[in-house]
Amino acid sequence: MSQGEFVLAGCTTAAVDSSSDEKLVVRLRSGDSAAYDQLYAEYHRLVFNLAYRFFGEREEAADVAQEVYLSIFRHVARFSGASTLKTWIYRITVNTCLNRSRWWNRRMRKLTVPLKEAAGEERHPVWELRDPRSSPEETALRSEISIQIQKVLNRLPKDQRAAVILRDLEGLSYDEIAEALGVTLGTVKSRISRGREQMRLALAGSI
Amino acid sequence: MTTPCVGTRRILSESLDDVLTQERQEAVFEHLDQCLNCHRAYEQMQKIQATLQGLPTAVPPAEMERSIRQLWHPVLRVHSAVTLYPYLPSAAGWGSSWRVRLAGHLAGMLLTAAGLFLILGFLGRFSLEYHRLSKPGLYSLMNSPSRTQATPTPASLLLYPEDADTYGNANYLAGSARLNGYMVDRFADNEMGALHEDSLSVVTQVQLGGRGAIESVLHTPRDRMLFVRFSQLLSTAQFSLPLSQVPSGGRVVWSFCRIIVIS
Repeated sequence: MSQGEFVLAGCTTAAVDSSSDEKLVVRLRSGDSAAYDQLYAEYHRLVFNLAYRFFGEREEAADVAQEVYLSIFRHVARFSGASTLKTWIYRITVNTCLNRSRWWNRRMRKLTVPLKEAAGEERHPVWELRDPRSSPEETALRSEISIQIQKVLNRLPKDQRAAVILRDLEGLSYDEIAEALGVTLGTVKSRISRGREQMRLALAGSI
Repeated sequence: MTTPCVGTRRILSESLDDVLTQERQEAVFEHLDQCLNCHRAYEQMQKIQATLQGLPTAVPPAEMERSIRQLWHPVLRVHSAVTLYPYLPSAAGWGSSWRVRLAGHLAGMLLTAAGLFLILGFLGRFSLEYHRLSKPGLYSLMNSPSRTQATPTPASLLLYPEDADTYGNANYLAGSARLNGYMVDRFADNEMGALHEDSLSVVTQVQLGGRGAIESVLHTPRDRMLFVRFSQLLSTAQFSLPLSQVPSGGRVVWSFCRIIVIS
């Protein structure tokens, strides 16, 4: 495939995405309950996972997901189509995470314990392993590393954390991240670079 | 010419993502071939990136879907009524005269208002209200349930009153409300701007006022939460929360907050 064909194929996919976004948004605006079902089915995992990686807590992530959907319902009429629906949802989710994080920090969140945890339930999250054929050892090792990485991720400054998550976990391009975070491309590069460097320094002894 | 370490480290992350120009990418690789420290740093970053990319996807809790769907119904009802009228004039093919269009819009608005009135007044399963901090240090909430509700429905409202203090340059008051375990609204308001000199920190007690049918009040100082249980939602309920133990530096903000009550 020549480069030109490749670009053309990309444009076609983007056009299809944009068209299906548009249809979904029109249906949402008209109050079509099936559209809300579709919106939930398509994006709830994305929203939850992003929030979960941001906070490292399921309870928190579920609350964020509720806030995000509430925000989508209220503001769907304002969605202009300048970005894809997915990027818009990323943006809402990141903003919700940042606001909530600020909010909680001011309430000295570290002194509180989730109710479930306090009751001794569900200390560790349920994870959907990408490779169900992994051996128990591999699974345990991966789980150990995941926990360690998650801890380091949670210690990153919020802005850097959001950028690293969007890039390395969600696989967004730099342009998409800039759109989702509402910052310039240069800021995205700098946040990702500094976030990764901090993670590298924190994990240097264990990798 | 090889890229010096400092320059390479600055763009190492971009090199990892392959977003550099070919020339700069080659310069980075050339330097990595000659510098063990930078090479090691590059490999470590690569490993971290691979681990991040391989992190398992967290599965949302089963109750999340239920709680989000719970939010849809009031949203959908209001939304349907509000979005109905803009379509009326064009759908009816009433022509392009501005008078006709204006009449169409007015009629549409009247219909929408009537629809909302019907929903809220007769068929309503929720009420949507705006509230205001009436006095510095007092938070008041009013609850107007459906008139047609046949039997009292127990409901629990969990408020997360937030400290109001300064964050950066913004005065800030925030909180969220949950009904029967579901978050029904979250309020974060720093826009009203009329400030008082007092501050608030921990809600230490609840005083009931008006005709509120509040069954019990539980204060959890550790989480700074107030748990207020309504035994019924048939009458207007009011309560106020005196806010004390004021730290220095904070402020109370005049604030609107919106509470959606689903009965």
